[in-house]
Amino acid sequence: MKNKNFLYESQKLAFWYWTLALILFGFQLVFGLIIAYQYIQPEFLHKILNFSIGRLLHLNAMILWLLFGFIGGIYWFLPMETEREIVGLFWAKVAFGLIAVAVGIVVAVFLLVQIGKADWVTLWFITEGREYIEAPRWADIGIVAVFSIIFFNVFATIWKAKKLKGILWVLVIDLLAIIGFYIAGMFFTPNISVDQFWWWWVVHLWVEATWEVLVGVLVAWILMSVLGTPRKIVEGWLYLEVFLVFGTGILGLGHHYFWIGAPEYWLGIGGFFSALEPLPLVAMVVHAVYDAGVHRLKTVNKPAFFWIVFQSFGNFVGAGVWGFMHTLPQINLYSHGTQITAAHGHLAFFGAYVATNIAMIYTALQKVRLNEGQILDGGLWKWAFVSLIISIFGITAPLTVAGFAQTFIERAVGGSSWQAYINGQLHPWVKESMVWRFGFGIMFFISYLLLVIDLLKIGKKPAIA
Amino acid sequence: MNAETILKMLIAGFSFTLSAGLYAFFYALGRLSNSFLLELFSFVFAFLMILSGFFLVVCPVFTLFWKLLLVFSIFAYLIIPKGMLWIVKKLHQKEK
Repeated sequence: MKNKNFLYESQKLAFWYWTLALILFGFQLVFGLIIAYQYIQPEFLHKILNFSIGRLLHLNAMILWLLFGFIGGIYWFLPMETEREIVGLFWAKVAFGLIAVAVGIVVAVFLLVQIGKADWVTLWFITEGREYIEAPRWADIGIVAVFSIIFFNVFATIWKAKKLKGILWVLVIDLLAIIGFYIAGMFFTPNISVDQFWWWWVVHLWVEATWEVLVGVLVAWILMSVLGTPRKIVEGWLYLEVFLVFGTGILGLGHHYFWIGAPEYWLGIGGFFSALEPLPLVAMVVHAVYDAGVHRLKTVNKPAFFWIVFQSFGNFVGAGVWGFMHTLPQINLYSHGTQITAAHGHLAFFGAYVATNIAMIYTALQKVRLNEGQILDGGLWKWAFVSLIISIFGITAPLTVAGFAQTFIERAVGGSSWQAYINGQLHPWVKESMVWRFGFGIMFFISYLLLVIDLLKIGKKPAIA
Repeated sequence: MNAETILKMLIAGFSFTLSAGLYAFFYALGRLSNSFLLELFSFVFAFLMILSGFFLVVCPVFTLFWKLLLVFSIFAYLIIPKGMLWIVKKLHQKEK
């Protein structure tokens, strides 16, 4: 029988993914601070690192680090689930090496080359130019190849272990969807409406649907580790969550089709399902309260427990509250593309995905650093937890205020004219909000450093034996 | 519809979902801790949710389809905390 601290090779690989993820998290914040400062001083790094490039790096670093965190989670929990080393470990390591080198090359090209002519060379080697998924075509193919390796590893491991458990099947199907939906973003058509139609499949269905399910799988495993919740319960909950998220989320995609030139019926479909999207998130809040209440905050892993409970609240507030506020087409007509969207994005990603990744890393650290029965706890994680949450709300609140001002001045009063845009941008509610946002951005960066220090130190001196 | 109405609709939309979540939170907390006061407190948010929802429903910008959708949402948010707590308890009965 293996002792508690035994690690599979793939679990060691998970730590490589998490290390790379945390480094990219830092890069994301640095570029975020640069572009936040450019809102205050637009000439800062002008022609060296323009806002468009900084924003591109900020967003792509976020997508990649969250993704690497999730991959780490799969490689951490999979051998525990199947009680064997993963099949294709060599390819898993090769994939990690390739992905690390590819990220380095893509970032270097984004920083040094930045833009190119509107031709195939640019598309393949510099950038595809599509917002959020700006990676060049070769890197896109690389992402699909890496996820194909992960899919093979997961499927072959389950097959060899003959452990066809509910959670694992959800993971297998979701990995297929992750590969499939990403390919949808690689089409190119000169018709901008058709192009946007498929592009949103990646941005909405990939990030908001398949990632949500992947997070559901990871949260199920975290709950089993941190609270000892029986498998039948987490599986039952996972099926319910997948049903609710897909039931409302798939056609909720329609809220992105409001103004891209898609047929008018998308106003009704998108608005209807988007309005229903917060319902499962409210249900998750009830479940989180129940779990926290029944266990009376008693757990073997305090930081993981708090982050996973926060995940359901953060997901509800970020995706649910900030999402519903501007999702109905009658409102979205005026608020679309204002800072309200940025506020929603910041809070939703933090609540749903950042919290899950952090909880997952703490869950793994407990196994690595503590013996059976010891509780993972400390002082620093509490500071990082509280200050990260305060600062993300501190970033979101001014963005919301700025978005309200934009909606009112630029759109409702000014009618989206160029002069109205200038009037909106010069309004104190927008200008001063950007200063507040930058201030809380610095606080967020300091909180990130506290988090990293805590992750490096926690559990090395057990709190309670 | 005038420009100010857009702002009011944004605020109502924000308040509608947020108060629905707070109602669910305090209701579940009240039921779990057997605190009648907390449960009573949760109904303040339920009332706020209904109020915000009602504001949206009566907005002339919404046609009948949207008004019905909003009314459905109000009822769904009222039922979810109680219904979800029942489901979660049923799920966790297996734990015992």
